Amino acid sequence: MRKSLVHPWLKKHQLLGDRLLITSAVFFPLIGLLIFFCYPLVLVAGKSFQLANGAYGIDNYLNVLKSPGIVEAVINSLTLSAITTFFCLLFGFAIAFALQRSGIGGKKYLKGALSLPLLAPSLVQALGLLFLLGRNGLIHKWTGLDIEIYGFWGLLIANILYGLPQAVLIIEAALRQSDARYYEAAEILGASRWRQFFDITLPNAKFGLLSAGFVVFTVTITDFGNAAVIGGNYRVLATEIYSQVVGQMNFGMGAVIGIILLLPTLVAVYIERVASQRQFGGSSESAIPVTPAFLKKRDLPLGIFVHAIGTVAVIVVLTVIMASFIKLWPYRMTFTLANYNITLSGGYTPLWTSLLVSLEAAILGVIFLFSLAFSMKRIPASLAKIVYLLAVLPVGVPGLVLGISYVLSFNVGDSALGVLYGSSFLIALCNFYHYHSQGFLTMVTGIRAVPGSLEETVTCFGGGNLKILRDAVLPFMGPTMISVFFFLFMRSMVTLSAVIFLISPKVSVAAVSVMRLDEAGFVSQAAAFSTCIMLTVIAAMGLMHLLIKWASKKQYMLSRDS
Amino acid sequence: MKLSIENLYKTFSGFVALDRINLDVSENEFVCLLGPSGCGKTTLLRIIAGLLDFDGGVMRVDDKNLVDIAARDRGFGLVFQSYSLFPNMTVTDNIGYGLKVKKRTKSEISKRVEELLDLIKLGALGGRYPHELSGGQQQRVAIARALAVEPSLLLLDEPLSALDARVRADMRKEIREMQQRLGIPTIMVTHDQEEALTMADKIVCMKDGRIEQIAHPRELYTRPRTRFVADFVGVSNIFSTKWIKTALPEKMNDRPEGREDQFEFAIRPEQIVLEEVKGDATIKEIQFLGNLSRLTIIWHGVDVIIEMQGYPHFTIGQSVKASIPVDSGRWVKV
Repeated sequence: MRKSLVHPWLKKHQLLGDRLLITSAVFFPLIGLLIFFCYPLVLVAGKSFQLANGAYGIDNYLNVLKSPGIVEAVINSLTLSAITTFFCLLFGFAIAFALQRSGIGGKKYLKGALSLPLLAPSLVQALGLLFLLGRNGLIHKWTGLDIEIYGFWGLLIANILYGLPQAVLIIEAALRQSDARYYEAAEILGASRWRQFFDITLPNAKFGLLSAGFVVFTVTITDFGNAAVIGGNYRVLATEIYSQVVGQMNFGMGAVIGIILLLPTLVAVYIERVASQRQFGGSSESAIPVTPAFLKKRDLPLGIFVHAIGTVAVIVVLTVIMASFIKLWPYRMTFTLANYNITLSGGYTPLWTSLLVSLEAAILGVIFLFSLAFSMKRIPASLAKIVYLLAVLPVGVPGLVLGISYVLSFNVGDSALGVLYGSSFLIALCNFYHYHSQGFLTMVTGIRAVPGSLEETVTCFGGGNLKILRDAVLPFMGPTMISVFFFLFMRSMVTLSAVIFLISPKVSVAAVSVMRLDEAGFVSQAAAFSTCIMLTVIAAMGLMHLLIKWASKKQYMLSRDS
Repeated sequence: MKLSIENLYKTFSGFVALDRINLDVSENEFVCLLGPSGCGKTTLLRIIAGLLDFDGGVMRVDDKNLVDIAARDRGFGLVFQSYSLFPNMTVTDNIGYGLKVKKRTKSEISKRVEELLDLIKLGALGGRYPHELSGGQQQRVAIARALAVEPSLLLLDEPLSALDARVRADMRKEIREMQQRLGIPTIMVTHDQEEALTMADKIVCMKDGRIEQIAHPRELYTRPRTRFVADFVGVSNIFSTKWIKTALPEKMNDRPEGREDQFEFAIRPEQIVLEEVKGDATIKEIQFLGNLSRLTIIWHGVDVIIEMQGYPHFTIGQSVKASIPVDSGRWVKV
């Protein structure tokens, strides 16, 4: 007698409701992915082959190759991203090493300083640099020095400041994994500090460096905010795609550049995935963490170096905040609140829209991502594989490409999909799918921490999926769900690259307002608006920390039960 | 209630995890599944619980075929090594959980929980949360939770492995007494032979997905059927047929028919007798273990382990006479 049943959960006696729960938990997020991620992308790919007269061909691609401006932009983008990546890795490693392994002081402050750029739209770095080094900047006023900050150098510094926190986070995680016993063994064998560094520290951080490098590269090549504010005449792909689509309504060209932008990121994401998979097994559960010690010869110069970088990050952001309270930076340095009286482009309405959009994205995201992660184990393995692949695919798609694909898909008057266009909800959807992968992976990691035996206990007592969810899974998932919620919320508050295509005169978001104010020459008001965004995000972060603390308190025994 | 398993077969993507498993568990019986890690004992337990499916064979309770009954409808109790208590529920809520799922009345639940708290001697701790209990207490609560619904079969998956040696010894007795008092047929997975020997009515000794021998603990120890059982349960000296032919030719009389390498002779260290007269063996090593001494002798070219009570006065290098009493030792299948 042969019986092949895939899952005991799906046996005959299973209640109808049980099956309905899992089916809908997979069905709705999957439909969402298909409509709001796959369909727009396929459309972009199709559009890139569609010519102005409606026929299909590769002429768009040929035109791009022939147009010197775009070739130049591609080269510029690649150069800029490569150099930014190099410096981010160099500085990022120094900072991560200082935080994890050295005995320098002020680590908490340094961490805080570095997370500042994550709290604001990317263009805040550029704004800060303008206030400091621009033609109307402090340095010029004090020294008379003429620094050409618009263009490559300004963009490079702004991008490094923006990419650095993300690089540090990843490299730090890699350094944290290491095992003190390797170092003890090396010490006993007589290896010098330098030898230990090159033989143990660096090889162990290899994959961390690799994946940090790809993240920075991807973020830089697709970043829009800094390029728009401080790029000047240095043309990059991100601004090029914007001017093609929004400025010249050239959707075919825009689609081509979108596809071009997709390639390096997809390659980067793929290599990063492969690398991170190989990293498994590198560290064991019983690893003893390395305890940092203070070595004067190493830590004094290192400390000065990393704190100098941290100080730059702080000064740039602080300058923006300060400038927002100044009457006429840097000439009439008197305090004023007048800059906060913003009338251009809808005043503060975009900030409230951003808040609404971010809440929508976060709520929808937590529900959909949790449903998906919970169902992964309960659906046939072949389906789970497809769902997983689809769920992690968005990480490879730059915001700009997603944005332009949304315009192509939803800016259509005559179909049902067009209804959403111009609404804040479509922006929320766009933000959610933009950051879908990171949220999904966090959820999956969280679900993995739920002890399987607890779920089986519920099953043995006759409880169905609903009871497993309530009694075994949810009590463990509180902190994960909160952190996914705030991740989506914070990213939605500050992102610019995707939503820039979706705003309309009626519905706009905060980050776009900052850009508009800057474009119109109201730099101080742009600074004021940025400060408001930062305050909102900081408040959200504070709230998150409180909630996580409260949720983990409820999470008894988690560590004991694994 | 009688669980019977016939020719059960299970593979994991090509790898045979369980092969031709035949096993009966009857009323009041305490059965231990014993074997090294990877032998399939936990897989078998999970199949019985309904948490895993099997590829072939029959599994019945009385005359009901278990294939058609999902884990949640089997009504078995399951206890894990990791306790797996609900961290956000009190001891009382944990124990009453199964009854709540079965929608019993509140008064019924609290009455039953009270009984069980008494049974596991944690009467005063009902309001505590799992993290406020010791490992042993948590495991008692887990057992009480499994017993609360009056399961027709109790399944224990290495329930004592995570506990300290002393607590483990106490819990062995406690679980065994509880099981006998309630008369619940029980299957326990363990890799600890001492645990199996002290607790079980019947030990199922497994290796590589197959059952090597099913026997009462005492029989398993004194009459192992295979070389693996002789070696895994307790310590054995194993002699090849060739060695027996030269050193102890009289033992060849009860050797079963078979090729030279098909059977070997196994004997427990405490069964070999040493005399302080010059003979065919030499003392190689003496290990003092407290209540016993373990000696290694060289006997006809092979190292042999001997255990004896008290404090023997042998010296290393001394020549002694070794012998095996009639009826001691056994031929085992390789």
